[in-house]
Amino acid sequence: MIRVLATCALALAPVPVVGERVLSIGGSVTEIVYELGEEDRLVGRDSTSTYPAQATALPDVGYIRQLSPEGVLSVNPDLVISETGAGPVEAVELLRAAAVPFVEVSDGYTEVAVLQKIRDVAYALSVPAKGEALAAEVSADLDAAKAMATTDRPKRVLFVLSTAGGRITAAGEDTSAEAIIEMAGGVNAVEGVSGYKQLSDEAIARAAPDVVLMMDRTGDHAITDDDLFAHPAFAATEAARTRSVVRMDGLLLLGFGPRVGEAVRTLAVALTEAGS
Amino acid sequence: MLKAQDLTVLLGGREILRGVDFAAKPGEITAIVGPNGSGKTTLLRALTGDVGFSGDARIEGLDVARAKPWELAARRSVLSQFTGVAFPFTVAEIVHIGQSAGVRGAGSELTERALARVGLSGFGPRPYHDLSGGEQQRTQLARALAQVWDPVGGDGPNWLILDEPVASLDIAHQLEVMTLARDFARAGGGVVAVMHDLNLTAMFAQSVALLALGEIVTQGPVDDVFTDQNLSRAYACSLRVNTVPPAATYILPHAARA
Amino acid sequence: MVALADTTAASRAMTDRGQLARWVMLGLAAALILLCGFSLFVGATGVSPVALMIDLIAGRDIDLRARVVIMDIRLPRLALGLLVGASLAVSGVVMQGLFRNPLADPGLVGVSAGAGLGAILAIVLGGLLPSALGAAMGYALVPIAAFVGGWLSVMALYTVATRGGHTSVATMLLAGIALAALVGAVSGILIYLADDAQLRTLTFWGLGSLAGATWGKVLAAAPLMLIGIVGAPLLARGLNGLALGEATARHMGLDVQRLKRLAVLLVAAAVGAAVAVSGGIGFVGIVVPHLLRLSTGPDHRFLLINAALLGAIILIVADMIARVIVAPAELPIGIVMAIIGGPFFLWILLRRRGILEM
Repeated sequence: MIRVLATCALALAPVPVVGERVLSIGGSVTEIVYELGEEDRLVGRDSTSTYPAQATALPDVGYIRQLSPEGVLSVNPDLVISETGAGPVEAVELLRAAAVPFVEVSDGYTEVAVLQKIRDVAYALSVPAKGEALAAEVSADLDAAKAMATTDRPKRVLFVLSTAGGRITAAGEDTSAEAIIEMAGGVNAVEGVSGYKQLSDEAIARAAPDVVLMMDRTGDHAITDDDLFAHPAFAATEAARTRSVVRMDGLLLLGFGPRVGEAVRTLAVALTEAGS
Repeated sequence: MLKAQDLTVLLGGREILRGVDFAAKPGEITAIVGPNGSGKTTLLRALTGDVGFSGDARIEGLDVARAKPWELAARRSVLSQFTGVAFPFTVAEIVHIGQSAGVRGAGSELTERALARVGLSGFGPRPYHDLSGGEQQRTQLARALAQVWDPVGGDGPNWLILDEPVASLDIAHQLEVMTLARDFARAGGGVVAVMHDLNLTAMFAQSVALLALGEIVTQGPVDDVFTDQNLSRAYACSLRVNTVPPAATYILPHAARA
Repeated sequence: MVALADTTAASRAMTDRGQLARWVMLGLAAALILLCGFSLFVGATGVSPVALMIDLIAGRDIDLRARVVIMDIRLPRLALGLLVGASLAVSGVVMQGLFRNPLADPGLVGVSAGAGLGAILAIVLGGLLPSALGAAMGYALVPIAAFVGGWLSVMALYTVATRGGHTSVATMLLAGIALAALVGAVSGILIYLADDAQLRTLTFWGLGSLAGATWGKVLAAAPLMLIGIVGAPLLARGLNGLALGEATARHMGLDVQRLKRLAVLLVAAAVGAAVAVSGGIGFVGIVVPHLLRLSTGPDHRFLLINAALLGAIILIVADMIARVIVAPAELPIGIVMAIIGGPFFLWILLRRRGILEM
């Protein structure tokens, strides 16, 4: 499932010597590179690559969807590995013009997709065996976590992305948040809406969450529990009654990288403890 | 010759002017007088093409309703009551715009002469917005004058059309501006002016059109029009015309004489 | 004698300001040329255009990376900055002349809003196009849609605000407000429909950036922007006349209706194309004309040309700041302009309020 955008450059080079100077775009890709033990080959990262902490010492070429073409070239990469959705298109095309191989790994919020992503990154780095080993390890870890998380009384979880301006943006169907909630034995409280959407107060009341899940970040996410539950939308919910809020690191929770098992475990424990 | 026949102007469904015939000759100041709301300014705006009308209006043969703006501008310039200017232009720049916007005129020495003519020598570099209302009005007059500087051009007389040219001026500048208009007319140009001050009109105009309720009461030489009866009827109050030999006329409210 | 001396002072003062404006024009042109050269040296990579030239002349093998950085990144970006900066500044001058208001901006009459709606439509609904058509238009879809949106909004504005060949500026402004509200509502619906990735694109597009500059974009948008930049000075005398009022302008021989029509079309072309390729870059259209009026007066014969030069300069400088300040990442230039322009705009408002109170 590797899509190599710079296939021409690769095909024409007799012995492609790439991957000594790797630019990693996307938090989960960077995590995988570190888990594979290939971090010495990294020369740069994007702004979503914040784990492990050592990664933040690398030059930051900007947000994954708003890469600066010259910024990308300035770290002088001979290989770019990226999550799906790197952009803008113009920046990616300029990389091709400069004959920098650009590998976009597969994406998705299932166990299969995570394992494929790991294999893709390992293949791009020419360490497929390490990739298989890591995939097996992550698979076992995730299976164990999911088994642990299984419950016959799943809680209704509302993932709140933002409360900016007093309006609640929450995760609907087909989102990374829904996927991780379900892996952790919960159900997404929001039904019939797809993507991350601003919800009306009534829609939230109807969603009737047992637990509110948020990203553990600063800025407008740093709303206090009191402020959150003072919001009229939550007034009548079970979550407000039991004051159940779970806050997790965004990259861990929604990254779908090698730590996906840890994410499931952490969330499952938090959901069990919430409100009890 | 400036000639209008059967002018009717409808504004908002109301007849502001009704079947007005009006004529002015070059070489004269023709004043349009009448009480408030009589249609003086509307008549002027019809003559300048600013409001739509039925009927026929021509300046030196140019059809006001159909001629191109630049054809009209070469024949007549207009001083309106509105003297607002959008940006911080200087006095000299505004006069120069009058010379150059639509009709290519002479160079900057004409600007100076036009300013001198309205008593604004030395005002050229001053910002227009810093001037008094009267000075702004005179700047606009210089601007209008610079547009049709020669009273008689190559193909006939030019026209100044003035809407209350002395409205916000002190008495000395009223006389200065009216003298300027008279000189323009004496040199062969035509002047049409909406006037409020009947005494100044009597002093400077040769011909007068008296309006009331959107119709011409009477039009003709000033001495024929300015009678006790005409004025009292038009203004709906008692007015008396006094003549002091040899040639001065002044109009006073009848009550004041009592 | 006194009168004579005074009148020469008048003419001297008038030509003084004209002279100053001409010198400023020369100075700005020189500064712009220097900055253009300089900007080719500024960027996250240490690539130098001089080294590239030497290699080219010496016939040596050219470093592919250096060539891409100079020829495909910095040069098109410079060209786009020049064109967008000049377009926005000139459009500001023209709009302000047209509305006789120094605070008027292309944003006011809904050109930017309409262009924005076009872009949002393309971003959100572009995926619904038949795939063959979508592929053929490629990433030009958003710019094209933005231009069409800007143009359509001007046409709609005209239909509403023009009666019997006469356009009332007041009606047009009010129609612009109504249009902006309508566009805002439709945008709101579309944003609700957008998926996560599209939302992020919208956000960054809205902030404004020159980072996506490619020769394709430059060539697609340049003709429209050049129409605005080169065409506007032809309206200079007309805009000067319009400053004295619509009626007075007509009395002075200007075809005011044609002037207004041309002005709106020029602005629609320049702003639509600029918004399409660079998103929402604000304040250029306000800041540049204001600075120039303060220093060299409001005469449009100089103002329009000087605004094109200064607009280009400001945008190129802002872009250099945007691309080095957080290198190797970069800031959207719209943010840089807002940081510079926001306080400046407030200062203008305060200053004008002071004048009104006096």
